[in-house]
Amino acid sequence: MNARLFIRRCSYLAASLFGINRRQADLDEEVQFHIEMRAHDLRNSGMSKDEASREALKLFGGIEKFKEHSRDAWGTRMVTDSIRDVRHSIRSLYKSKGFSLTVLLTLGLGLGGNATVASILSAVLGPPPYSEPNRVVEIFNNYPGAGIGRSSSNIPLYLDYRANVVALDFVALTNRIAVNITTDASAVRGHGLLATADYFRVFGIQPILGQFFEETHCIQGNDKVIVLTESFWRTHYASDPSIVGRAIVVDSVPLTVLGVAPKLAEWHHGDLDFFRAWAWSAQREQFEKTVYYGRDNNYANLWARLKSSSSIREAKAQIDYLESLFLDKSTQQTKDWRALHQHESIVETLQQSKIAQFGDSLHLLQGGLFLVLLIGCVNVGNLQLSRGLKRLPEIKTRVVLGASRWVLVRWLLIDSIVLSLGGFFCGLLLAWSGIHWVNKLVLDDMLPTVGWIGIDQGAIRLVLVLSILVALCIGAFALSILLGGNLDLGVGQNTTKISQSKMMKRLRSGLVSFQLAMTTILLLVAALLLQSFYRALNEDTGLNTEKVVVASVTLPRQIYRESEKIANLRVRLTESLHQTPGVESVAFASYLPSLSAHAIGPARVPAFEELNGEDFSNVNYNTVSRDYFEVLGIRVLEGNTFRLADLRGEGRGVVVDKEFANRYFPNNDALGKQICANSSRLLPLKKRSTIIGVVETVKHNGLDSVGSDSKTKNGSMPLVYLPLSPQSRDRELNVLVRGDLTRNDLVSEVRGHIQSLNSQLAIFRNSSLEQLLKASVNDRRAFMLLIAILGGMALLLSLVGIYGVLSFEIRQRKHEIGIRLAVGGSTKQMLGDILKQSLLQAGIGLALGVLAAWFLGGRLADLLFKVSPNDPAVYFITLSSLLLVLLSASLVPALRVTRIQPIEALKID
Amino acid sequence: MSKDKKDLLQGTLDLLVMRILKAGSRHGYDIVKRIELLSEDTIRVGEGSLYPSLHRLEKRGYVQAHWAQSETGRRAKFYNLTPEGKSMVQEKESYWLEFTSAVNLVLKNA
Repeated sequence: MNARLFIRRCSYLAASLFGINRRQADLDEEVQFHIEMRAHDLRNSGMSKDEASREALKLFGGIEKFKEHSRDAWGTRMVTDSIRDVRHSIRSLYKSKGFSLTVLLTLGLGLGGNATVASILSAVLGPPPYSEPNRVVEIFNNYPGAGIGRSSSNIPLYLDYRANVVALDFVALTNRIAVNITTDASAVRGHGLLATADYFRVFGIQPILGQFFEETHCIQGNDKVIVLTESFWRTHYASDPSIVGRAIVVDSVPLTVLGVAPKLAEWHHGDLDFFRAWAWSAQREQFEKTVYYGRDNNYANLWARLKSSSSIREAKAQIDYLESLFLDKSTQQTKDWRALHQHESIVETLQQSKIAQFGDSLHLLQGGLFLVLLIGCVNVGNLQLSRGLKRLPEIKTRVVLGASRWVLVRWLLIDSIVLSLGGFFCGLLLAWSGIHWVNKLVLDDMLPTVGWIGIDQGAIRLVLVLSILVALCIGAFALSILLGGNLDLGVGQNTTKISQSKMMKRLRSGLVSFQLAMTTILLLVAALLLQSFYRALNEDTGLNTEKVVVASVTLPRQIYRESEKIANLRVRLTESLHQTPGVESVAFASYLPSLSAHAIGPARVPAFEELNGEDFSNVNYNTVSRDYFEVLGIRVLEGNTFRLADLRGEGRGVVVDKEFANRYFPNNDALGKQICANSSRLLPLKKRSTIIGVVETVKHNGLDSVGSDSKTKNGSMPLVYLPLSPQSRDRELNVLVRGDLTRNDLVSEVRGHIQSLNSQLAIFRNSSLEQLLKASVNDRRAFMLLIAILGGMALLLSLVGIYGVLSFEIRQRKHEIGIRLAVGGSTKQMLGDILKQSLLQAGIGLALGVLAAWFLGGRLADLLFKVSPNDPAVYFITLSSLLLVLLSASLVPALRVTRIQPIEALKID
Repeated sequence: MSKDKKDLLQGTLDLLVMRILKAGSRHGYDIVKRIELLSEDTIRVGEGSLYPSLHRLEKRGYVQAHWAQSETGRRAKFYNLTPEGKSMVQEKESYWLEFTSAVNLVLKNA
């Protein structure tokens, strides 16, 4: 077909569609003209005027039928009829407002929820927004033998891979740092990345202002440059384009601003303020390259961009080859070490590593939402069915008047399409606000590495497809009932006959059972997760967090280079805090329990090794001051805490927790035994320390950390406390103050004391310990809240479902019940009958749900803390309360039976 | 079977209508009379099929319509062939001639 013809056809169709009245009038006039002409000719052949007119009309034939044929020829008939059906269906939906509102809300919630989670899923688990994201990879070191997975990387590996892995285009090494940035107004704590020059090329990012640093900047002396992130530039410099070339003081060192990186650069890192060129000293490089553990000392992230012609597999093979070359050349010590820890290199795209981190929880949410949508669909189908039965007389009238089955099919289909389209728009609206809400409230806590989420194209498509499916399901459902055969009934006959057919009854109760099965699964999963979360939160932390205030600072290296200076600051701070009224005790620690990830490393225990051979699992370390245990109320079980000699750096005492003592000294004789902290069997046993005390195990690796049976998850790790000596160069200063919180504002007083010592220090984590701990599980809390809401939605929807079905059934059976009552049946008997039936439906649903949940349970085990996936108590409580709720939901409509008057009931037919 | 017959008739009517319009634009009644005249009153075209045929041809883009003054002075709807219609009528005509001569051959020699 040529283009002109096509356009002509389209414009004809459009004219028929939009100018239907005009075309109608044209046709009338054309017919009129034809008949007049014929009459004119007939008159000329000798007929009288009246006779000619009559004859002309007769010759033309049935005008209306003719017009119908012409309209068929216009090709718009289907469209105009459909439009009429749409109008009709909107009108009738508007009339039954209760029904429409319920359906729209049900579908909207189901669809909107699914779209929201799909958007989150694709933002979190989808490919990152970089150019050619499948070429951006991270390279990890794994040590399954030591229970350490996804450990990062280091300078020697960076240098080796950059020079020798052919499959990689660019390689970059980064290290996250926290600093004090002095802006015009005050000191703020800033987070940045130390990055090597190719970092931006790895991610394919261009500056929005100025330029990025180059290889020449990554040399000591040339590295006094900084690239700001877009967020930092916008908040702190009001998007001032003249920032390039100006100096910013970071940890008391002025750095020149080279440029501004786009928001994309922050995507993977969450909260990020700047990038700095990473210049390390030649000595450091030399040391790390030669020391035997250099390639396994992991402190920095290694990123790379694959060559477009290469695959991850190739890169991994080349890396493995380099590692084998390295091992061939290394000493026996290194070979042993690697073998013991089962070292392996991992190359993963960013997407793969995200899926490993968040996949389970998010897929669980998505599954739950899909179930909710299914439950909602069943409800809508059931409601539509009831509505369809009410409209049966109308349908029958249309059949009698000559409507074909196709017309009916179209009518019903359009009705359900209108419904699901409404649901679609409601769903989009809800998804839009849902994502808005997610962005605003939970993103920072829950998914810090995502940055932001937009409504996803894929999610919209998903909703569209789902609503079409919903429409078809509802339509097919109503159709199967209405075209099920009984349409030949006379117009006046009662509709109850159809609804009582066996097929329909089975269908309805089957649907209710299905719905209940879905609800049971959801509720069981939700109950298990909530129970697990509750247990994790309410487990004794071993800490007395009341009356404890925290403040943290990172001391800039440039000012606090010597350990004396750091120690001096601690002493002065302690003194000034002690003079504050209400303060009881003050302590310092490298890490805060459950708030910061503790140092992790090996430990050697000679007494244990003599009996059991070596143990290669790692332990956690924290360096604390004398009063740490007192401030946090950690009970001392045996021995003492640090003496002054230890704290002066003269003694060799360490304190261990009960977990440590239990693992290495099962006979309760830990006290006085020797250990080598931070030492593996490959080092000579020189720096021995003596255990001077055993303290209660505290939850130090997160409140929701998984219990003590698993070796690989950090929650369980034994903890060794090392004394904070004046020689310590730890610049992460966590101040803990126990005092009377009610007397005055201790939080801001602690802040004031630190600032009076050095006003350039940016203070963070400045709050009561209790609040900080509570906030630390906000992400889990948000997740649990969502799961609970899902469970609630499912329960509500299935309640509506069972209530609707039952009350419909009772209305249908009114006649029969009336007769039974009239011939002497008791109300009690009827009630029992109806309840028995609904309990049977419920029972089948519950049994199916339990069965499915039982099978699904295994997949849940990883997400549960101290709760078995088949926990009988959780099952019992959930199921019995579900049953109780269902029973009361069926009792309400069932009680209507008692109000049936036999005489009235018999009048129905 | 009856469906085939109808199609055949419909196709034939379309051909006749288009062939008549090849000579210039005409209104519906004129076309009817012209066919009757040319076929020496053998073919009677029902009005009930002529107008749907015209509208169908118009929808397909082979025929265009416009309103104009008729010979009696009354406004009438005139139809004429589009360029596509002209090439279509050529095609259909030669096909028809070939087809009928083939049928005639069979009838004569059978």
